[in-house]
Amino acid sequence: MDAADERRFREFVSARSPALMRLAYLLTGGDQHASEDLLQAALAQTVAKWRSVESPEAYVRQAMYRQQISWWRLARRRNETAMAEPPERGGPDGTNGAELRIVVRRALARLTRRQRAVLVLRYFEDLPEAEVAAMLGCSVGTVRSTAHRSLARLRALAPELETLREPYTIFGEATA
Amino acid sequence: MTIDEHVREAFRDWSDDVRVPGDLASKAIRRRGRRRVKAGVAFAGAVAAVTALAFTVPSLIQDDGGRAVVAGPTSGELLTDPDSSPPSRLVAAGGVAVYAYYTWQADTTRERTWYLYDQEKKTYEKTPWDMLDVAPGGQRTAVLEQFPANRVGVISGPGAEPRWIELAQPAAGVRWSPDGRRLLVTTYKSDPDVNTRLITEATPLPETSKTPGGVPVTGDTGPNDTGPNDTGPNDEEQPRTGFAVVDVEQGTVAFVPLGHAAEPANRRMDLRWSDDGTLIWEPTVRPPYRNYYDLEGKPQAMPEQDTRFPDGFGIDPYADFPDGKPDTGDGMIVHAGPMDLSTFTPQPLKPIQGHHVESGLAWADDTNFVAWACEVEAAECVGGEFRNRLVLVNTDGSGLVPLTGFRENSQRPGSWEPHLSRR
Repeated sequence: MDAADERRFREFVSARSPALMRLAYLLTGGDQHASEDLLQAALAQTVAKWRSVESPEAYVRQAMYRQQISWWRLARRRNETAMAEPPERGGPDGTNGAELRIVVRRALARLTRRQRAVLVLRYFEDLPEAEVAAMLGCSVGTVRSTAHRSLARLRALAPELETLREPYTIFGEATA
Repeated sequence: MTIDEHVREAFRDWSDDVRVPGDLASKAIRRRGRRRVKAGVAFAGAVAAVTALAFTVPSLIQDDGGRAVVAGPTSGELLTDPDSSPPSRLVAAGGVAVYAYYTWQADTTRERTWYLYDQEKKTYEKTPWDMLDVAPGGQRTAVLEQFPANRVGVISGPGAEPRWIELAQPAAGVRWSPDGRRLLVTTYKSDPDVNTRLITEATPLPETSKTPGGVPVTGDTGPNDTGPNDTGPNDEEQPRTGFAVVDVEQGTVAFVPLGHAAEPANRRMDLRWSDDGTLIWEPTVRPPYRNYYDLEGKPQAMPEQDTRFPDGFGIDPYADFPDGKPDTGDGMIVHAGPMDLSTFTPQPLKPIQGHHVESGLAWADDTNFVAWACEVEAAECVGGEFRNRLVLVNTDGSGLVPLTGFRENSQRPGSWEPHLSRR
């Protein structure tokens, strides 16, 4: 990386780091330290490929998603299922407004990295399932089944959501 | 609002909490520089290990036809059954052997059927045990009955009756010490294999992906992995109560209470011996991925020898590695099945003998390991990523020997998992 490349890299990071940190923060379940580490690792990979990368932001985003999956895979091989930070004990039991958002947030933090990554891609990045599958390198069916399980677990972790009477959708499929 | 909208809103609201650190660019540039240095050191170390062990390990080379053959002196005969799944003949490589395997059936309760290698009949025989572990050398087997098991049995040979040793606490996990003299029994107050969430919530099995570098949900072979649908511990109280160290010859049992880690990975959290048998450990979800304790249950640091090549764990074929070289700098990562990091395209850059290595299971020696691998055609796993077989592969990816036939789908009930022990 020469001086001109480095300047462009620094400009890219300066401009896009707020958005990228938001994504990293959600992927790591609200862990500030882990999100910084995740983004730094992705940026370090981007530095190495800087001249051949056509879309740095897309590259960094995919690097972060894949890294999360990689860590998840590594954890599985250690006979574990990766978890986010455990939620704080106690808390609001309301079902409306800000309180419900906190309940949902805590439930999201308890999903596995894989489950949370799928939901972030789908609901924060608003990607269709085919693009989610491409981003994670898996089949559309795997994305769909993971999303289904993720929402089911979310409802189990946040019973307040059970009070919602409206049908919800999973990638276009109405579910009662 | 639908649940979709609640999730969207929660994500937006939550992401506002993040702090954006300064000078991320400089940190990334420095980090990249450190990784390059680390990779060079690790590669040099790997070469030294190959040289030092040249006369004690199987050496995989390729013949003119591109097939892998075994050459050179070996410390352990290479035994394969490449057309059978599960194996019918003993499978062994280097310092490890598949003395046992189990099949599993249910999703709500991890029901296992164990098969143990019978040295007289020269094949694997079905057993009635709920859990077992084969001692180093393969001569003795420790067994547990269905939970709650209030005794542990030691079988000293084919057809022999167990010698029972009574336990004060119900147990569900058992491990032989490296010297084969003691047993580490993990005790629980309720069955750790009953996944109450799955009983009340039917979830579909994952579909297969044909992409070799896809995102498999293949679990590992240890009983701590409670199955493809396991998503972590349930919300209820965790069931482990502690452990007992059993002196097999004396028949004495010393129980030590030890609850779960702060972040238990699963309901089943069996304890294991350190490499030298002086400490025990449990898996955790964060680095260094293990909590160590002494035999009184007091926390200890990870022993030096355990950090190098943790047996049965830590080979990550998809891990980030620089420039295609093995990254053993932290003792945890070895490159075996590459991902194209320039594009993040999950395709094998170099399929080995028509196989793509998916995940490592155990070191056969310092340069060869036992792994799961799928069959590759046109950069896809034939039959999907969950159709795989046991192979022996070396760390530079130049040699591979099939050990068993292919599992049709590792995520489906009826599939089998090997149980590797020291020879």
